[in-house]
Amino acid sequence: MKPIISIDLEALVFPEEKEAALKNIKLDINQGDFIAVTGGTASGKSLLLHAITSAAPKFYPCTIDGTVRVADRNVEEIPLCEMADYVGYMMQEPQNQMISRVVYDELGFGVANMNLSSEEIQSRVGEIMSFLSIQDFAHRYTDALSGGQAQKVVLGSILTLKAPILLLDQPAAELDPKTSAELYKYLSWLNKNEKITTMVVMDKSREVLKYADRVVVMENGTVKDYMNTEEYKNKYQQKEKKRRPIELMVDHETDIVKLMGASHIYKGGIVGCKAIDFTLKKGDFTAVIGQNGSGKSTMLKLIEGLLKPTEGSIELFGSPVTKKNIGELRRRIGFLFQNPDDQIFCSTIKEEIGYVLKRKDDSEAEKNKKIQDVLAFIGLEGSEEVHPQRLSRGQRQLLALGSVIISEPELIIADEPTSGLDESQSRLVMEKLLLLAQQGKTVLLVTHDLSDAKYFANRIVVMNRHELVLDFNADQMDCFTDDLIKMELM
Amino acid sequence: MINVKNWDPRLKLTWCLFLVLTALISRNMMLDLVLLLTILITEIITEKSLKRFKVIAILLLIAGSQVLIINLLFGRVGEPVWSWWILTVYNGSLIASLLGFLRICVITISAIQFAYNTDATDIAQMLIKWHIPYRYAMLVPITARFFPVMVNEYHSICDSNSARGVPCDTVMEHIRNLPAAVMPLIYRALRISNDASLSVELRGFGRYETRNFQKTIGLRPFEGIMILFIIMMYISIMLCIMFL
Repeated sequence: MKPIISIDLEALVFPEEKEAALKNIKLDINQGDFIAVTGGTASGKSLLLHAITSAAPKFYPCTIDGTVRVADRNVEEIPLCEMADYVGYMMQEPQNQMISRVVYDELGFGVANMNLSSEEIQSRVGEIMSFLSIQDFAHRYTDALSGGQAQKVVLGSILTLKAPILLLDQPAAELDPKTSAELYKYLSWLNKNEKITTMVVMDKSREVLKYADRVVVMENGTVKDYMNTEEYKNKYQQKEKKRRPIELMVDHETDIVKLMGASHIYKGGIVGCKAIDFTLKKGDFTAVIGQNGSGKSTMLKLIEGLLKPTEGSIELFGSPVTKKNIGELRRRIGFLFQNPDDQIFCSTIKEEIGYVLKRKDDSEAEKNKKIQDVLAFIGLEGSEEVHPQRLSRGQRQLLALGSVIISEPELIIADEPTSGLDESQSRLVMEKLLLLAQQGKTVLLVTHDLSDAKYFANRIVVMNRHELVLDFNADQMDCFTDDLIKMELM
Repeated sequence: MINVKNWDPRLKLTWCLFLVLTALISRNMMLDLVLLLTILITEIITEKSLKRFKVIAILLLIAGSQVLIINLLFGRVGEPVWSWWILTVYNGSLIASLLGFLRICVITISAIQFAYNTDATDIAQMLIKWHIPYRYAMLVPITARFFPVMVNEYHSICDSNSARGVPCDTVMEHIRNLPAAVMPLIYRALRISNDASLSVELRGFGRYETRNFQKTIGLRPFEGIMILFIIMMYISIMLCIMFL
């Protein structure tokens, strides 16, 4: 049997780069295979998918020494707009890939380009909508979708093309455990029943390994290993992370955050969170977990003062939050956002870290010392003059953390800081947060990743349907397994 | 309420152009005022409210005040009515300012009325009817989709800047801290447009000469008559201005 994808690449080099971004890759993938692609930061996982679709070099100029064949055709000979006959490609960040205002139009975008009859388009879109259970928001605006919904819509618009190959780059990176499990179940069904060859760049979710036949392990732009899933598990997968004893200096007398019956209803009556009673003690490392849309981010924004409670009240550092003192209180909080790119706006790493210091009266020498200390802490010393956008996403997240901690906040709020990061990058960010907690800072973390919460935090708070439903010590997690399973968090 | 959204975009465009061109050739304040009132009355008839123009009204008042100040400072038309040191105010400046302000109002509000009442895909269809290739015509709905996306991006950047001690609560703070928001916004815009263009190409965009939009536009008889009526009205006004 001839492979459906055949890669024989000597080198793929970007202009003005000395090193090849991909090198010495020989890979054959058969029809109906389910392949997981894994590897560290900048190992070439996404670029490999770009090479298969011929986006590199047709969209991202580069020189290629070697050939990539799809369905026995050299991809160089296939115009990019004809690739839809062979490949359905879903990149990271689904919101960036939608171009229609309404969900229904987005689902039919690709098939409409193929000039099929209106009946055929309606039938394909209808079929995919019921398959992905997205009929309820068929007429909603695409910019009003949640991360999970957007991911399903982009996937749907690719599935309507009925291409024999699916390439998916971290499709579950922004999804909660329940939606992520559902997504991989869909993909597995397609793979088994429709014989669709599937290649997935693995995100943190281990779900993909349940369904994958083989795993491609990438390192420094080359394929380090190509093995079946069992071999991969034996060779690479760490054993289930066990909770490690964490010694934190929690001051049970001092409240850093106190929410008393705090609710927030958005315009149009959409509930953000309802009657939250929550106290965060000084030195605590608390993880807030919950499904997408359970109200976690709303709660964080209430604490940070980015939103006002429509009911109830909030105290920060022992003082009730008012319009007058919010600015003062906010200076004592460091907020780390999910997307580091929202937080980075300077042209060098040094400038970025030192941005907050511009407003302070410290001497130049003091400022430089602080910057150097922070750079050493986040592991970016020696890169002061590098442009932040040249860093990997994980390094940019660390840079954002550095720009937050330089103002020495007493409370650090991190909103899904490991979203979109691979396992090694996530670990790096989480280790730094733990280190800060051990130095006496109070950390409030929002995460989808239960193992992060269990491994790093000393207390876990669970939100479900906009309410705070569980609050327990991380050591006691096993006692709450049934509840967590019921809420589809495990 | 009349559902103007379902009308042919060519009729709505003719109406908009009639208002804009008439405002441009008019040198009569009364005519401009009548045009402005016409837009507002049609808006009330079709939407039963003027809520859509709330924000633009504030911006127009700011722009109008600037037009007035510039004309009072530099205008030299008519008789001097007030003088102080090197400043002399002429009576013609006030009339010119009002005329300018009314023109800006008519042009802006009629364009907004057209944009609100016309679906972006209808505009694309209209361009296709004029033999513009669909690859270019599709830029209209694509822009309509990305405008709210970029607004959301701007808000999330402002939120994260606020959290880093760069407040973005009041209008003045937004203006003052614009440089801190612009860089990440440009970066995000480039990244989004890059991803979007690759994604559309890989879904077959531009492969064939035509594309099935699943919707087409066609002029109904009453719409054709209305277009003719509007054109005749414009010609009459033009002739009146030229010869009266």
